[in-house]
Amino acid sequence: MKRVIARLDIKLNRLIKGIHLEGWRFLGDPKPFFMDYYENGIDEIVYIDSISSLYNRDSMKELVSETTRNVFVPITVGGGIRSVGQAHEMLRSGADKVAINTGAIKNPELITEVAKNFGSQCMVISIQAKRVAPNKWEAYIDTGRESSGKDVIEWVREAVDRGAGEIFLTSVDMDGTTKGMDLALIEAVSKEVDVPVIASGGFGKPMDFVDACKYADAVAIAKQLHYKKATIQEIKKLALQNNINVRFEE
Amino acid sequence: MSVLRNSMKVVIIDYGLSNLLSITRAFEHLGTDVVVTDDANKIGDAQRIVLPGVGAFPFGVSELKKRGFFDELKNVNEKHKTPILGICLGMQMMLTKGHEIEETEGLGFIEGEVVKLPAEQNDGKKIKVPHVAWGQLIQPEDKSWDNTIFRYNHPAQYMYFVHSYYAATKNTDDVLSLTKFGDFTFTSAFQKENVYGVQFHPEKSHEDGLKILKAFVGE
Repeated sequence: MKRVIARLDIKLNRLIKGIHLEGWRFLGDPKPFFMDYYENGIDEIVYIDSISSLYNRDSMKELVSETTRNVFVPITVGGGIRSVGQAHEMLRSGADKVAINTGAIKNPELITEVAKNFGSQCMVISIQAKRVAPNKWEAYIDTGRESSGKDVIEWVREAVDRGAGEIFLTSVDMDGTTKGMDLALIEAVSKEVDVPVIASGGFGKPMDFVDACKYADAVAIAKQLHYKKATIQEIKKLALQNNINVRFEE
Repeated sequence: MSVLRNSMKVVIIDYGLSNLLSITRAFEHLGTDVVVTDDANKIGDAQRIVLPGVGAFPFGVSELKKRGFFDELKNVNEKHKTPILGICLGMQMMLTKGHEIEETEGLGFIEGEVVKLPAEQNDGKKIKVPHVAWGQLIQPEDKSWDNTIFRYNHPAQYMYFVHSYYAATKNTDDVLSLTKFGDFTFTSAFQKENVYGVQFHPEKSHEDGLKILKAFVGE
């Protein structure tokens, strides 16, 4: 069963969208967006906090809490989580999972700790992958701005060995371009580990979901959903036509 | 003069492990009175009890015991036959025993054991554990869903699963629904009299999940 996930990048309680994780544009109040996705059969919602300040973390908690009043599908929250305590705050606010990138690269022990405290299913390792050579990617931190120097494949292996239960894999190169996903990246990561892989970055049309799901377990979509260039229903219909099992009810 | 009575409808057990907000919100959304408590004395006069849970079996059991819930749940179940719904780890702890990390005794409401999902298919192919996915309800043959928590649901509806272990129930009579994990079939819900357990998260399973909670609190 493959999943269609809505990715909502958040800045100060507003939905935003950029290109290559930069050049953000404000789209407004996230509520009408998440309500629309819920009513149209989204399988999961991922919030990514684009500026991880103390102030923003509080507003993110409020947003997650508000979402759980109306949305009864899993919610993942990422962005700026640096400690077990901060992960716990998000889970208490209604998140089902936390996605951690920078905090885990700077302190890989955080993965182990979060998995130990809340279970591997809560601990999503978020990877921002930038291609540096054919079939070679480097893990970026601080919202795709800075290289960590870590090889993505090696880092994914370590993260899973430490207890990460799922991988949220963003292609920095393809993010916001709507030109299709980095299939070589998705394939390479999916083949390296046995945990579910959520592919993100570059979705342009429903067929991109079908292509990515050859390896990925889920695709996270932002821009094309926010700008209503693709609907959840048409993506799922196309998936079913291509013998990809998805949750679908007319 | 009207008599003030305890309007408590649903009591959710807080033993420190889970995301209680989502399950609380789901009942609120249905317009149900809901109380979250970490006090074992508060479940005696509850009309419905929810035992949620995420995490490891031995840890869950020890946290229940630490707060007095383990014995009180057995007591309430025996004396009042209060409808109880176990969700995920809460469901698993209703079984005889668990094998996660170490062998641990469960509440024993349902005969069976909690064992790890097979990481290999019948054809030898590997399958990803934990099982984090939407799975479909299969209605066992000769099992009616009338008068159960599935009375508003239909076979093949999707529920959200997050687990590495499953309830290996001993008696087929107790099985309310089955679900596939690859080509392996496991008990995704059970019922014995007033005791219900679901492996999936109804509070995370869209409108079809909410229907189960609605049926659970209904008369």
